[in-house]
Amino acid sequence: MLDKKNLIKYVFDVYVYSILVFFINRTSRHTEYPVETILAIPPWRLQMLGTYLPILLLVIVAVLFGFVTLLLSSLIGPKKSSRIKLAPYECGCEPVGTARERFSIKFYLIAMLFILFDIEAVFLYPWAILYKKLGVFGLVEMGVFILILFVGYIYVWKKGALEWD
Amino acid sequence: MDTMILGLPMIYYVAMITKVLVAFIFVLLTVAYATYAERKIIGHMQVRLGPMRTGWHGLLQPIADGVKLFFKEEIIPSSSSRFAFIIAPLIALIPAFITFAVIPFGGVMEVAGYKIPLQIAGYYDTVAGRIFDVNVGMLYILAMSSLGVYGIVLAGWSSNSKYSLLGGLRASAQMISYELSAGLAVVSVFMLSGTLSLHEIVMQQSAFNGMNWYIFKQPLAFFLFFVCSLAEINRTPFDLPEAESELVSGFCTEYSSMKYAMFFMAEYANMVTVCALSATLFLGGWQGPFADTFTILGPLYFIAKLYFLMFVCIWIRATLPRYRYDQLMYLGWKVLLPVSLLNIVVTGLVGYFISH
Repeated sequence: MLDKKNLIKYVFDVYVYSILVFFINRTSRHTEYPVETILAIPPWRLQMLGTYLPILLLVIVAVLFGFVTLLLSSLIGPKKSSRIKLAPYECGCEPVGTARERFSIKFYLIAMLFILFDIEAVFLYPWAILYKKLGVFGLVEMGVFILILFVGYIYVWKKGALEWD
Repeated sequence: MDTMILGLPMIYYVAMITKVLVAFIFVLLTVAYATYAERKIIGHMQVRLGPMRTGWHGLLQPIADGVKLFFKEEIIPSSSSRFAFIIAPLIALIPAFITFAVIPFGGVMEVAGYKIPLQIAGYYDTVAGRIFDVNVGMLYILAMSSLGVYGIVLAGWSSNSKYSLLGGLRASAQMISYELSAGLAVVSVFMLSGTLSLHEIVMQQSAFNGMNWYIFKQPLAFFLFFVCSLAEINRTPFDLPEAESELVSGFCTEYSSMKYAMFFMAEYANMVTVCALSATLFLGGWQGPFADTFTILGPLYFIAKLYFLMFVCIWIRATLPRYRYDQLMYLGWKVLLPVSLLNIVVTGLVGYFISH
């Protein structure tokens, strides 16, 4: 019988099984590989390793370069600090007030609009890749999507959110 | 050479290390000499000579500048947020240098019977018999290039100076605004290519002796992408974040010594990446006449296209005055954004009617 304990076990089994099915499907899609290779090491893993390992190496090289440069310059350069030298720059005058004051709401608005339209761009990428295969269906779907966003864009424009003064 | 490590032959690792080091040093040297070329070219365009003292016609100027910056005092303002202040130049610099990884800079080189594609993030699979590279290469570039904005915002905020904060805010608003249009401009290229892998995109431009460039099919997209990229990397005429006549030096006002130099290295490295990417997406990458037969021609074509686009960047700087901030926002949101959206719609319709 399915009591509480068994139910959890059952759900867990289904979960693990679905993950397995997902990876098996993913592996068998690479039909150009012979079966032995698939069994020996999953090609997608090999492919990921082959393509992303150089990026990892480049990241390591770039990080090392950055840190070594910073370290060297802090070791070599002179260190004669004074209170005035360490004050924030304000054209030679004594700094007035703090720099962390409120700034224009416009920047916040731009950030919000950016997120809106950037998500639109994110939706456009997979569509653009499959554009030729999707045919007229994809074209109409994306046309409707862009149209809705364009209405929003006109609304934002008319509301004056894009004005800067 | 037959030893396998994690399923890949030994020569793959040797090739990987060589490619990474060569490409890194190439970008570093290009960055150093881009500063020299910029001063020299703008100098001659303004009927001046530019740097002349260090070495023959000032050829050692970038090295002298680098050494000088190493020997300068590092100033960390007392009111700044110390950790963020130190880490900000690194956050700006590292993404700028690692973006280059997915851009193919040549065809397939054959060393000791093993084929090596001239692209950092790519390898030749002997079982499948074809080149694999990062299949979302373009997404990788977009992701990495938008990381750079964190460095600039962090630098502006952590300095705790009014000029820095204003510069940082301006930079963030400008970069995200133009990133949007740049991201939309390249969508039309993906509609033609049907892939995000940069190796595939280059190969698709190989017809007509490597002259079947996407710029001929998508001239508007190229223009949009190039203009938006200029704004995204804060180049003239969009260099408002460091508008020296009003904001002293913008987000890097409080920076000195090598930390200051790192922002400039990041800017020029971004310039290299953007020009390389424009060349790859629109000008056929390393493709050109006879590039398939003679492998050495590939990198040469690529470097020629890259340097030409960088020259155009410098040329624009010598020619155009700076935008005002409201004009910049007007251009980004009210001109470039709708035009790039329209370009996608037109490409979609025209592409559909051509194929049917």
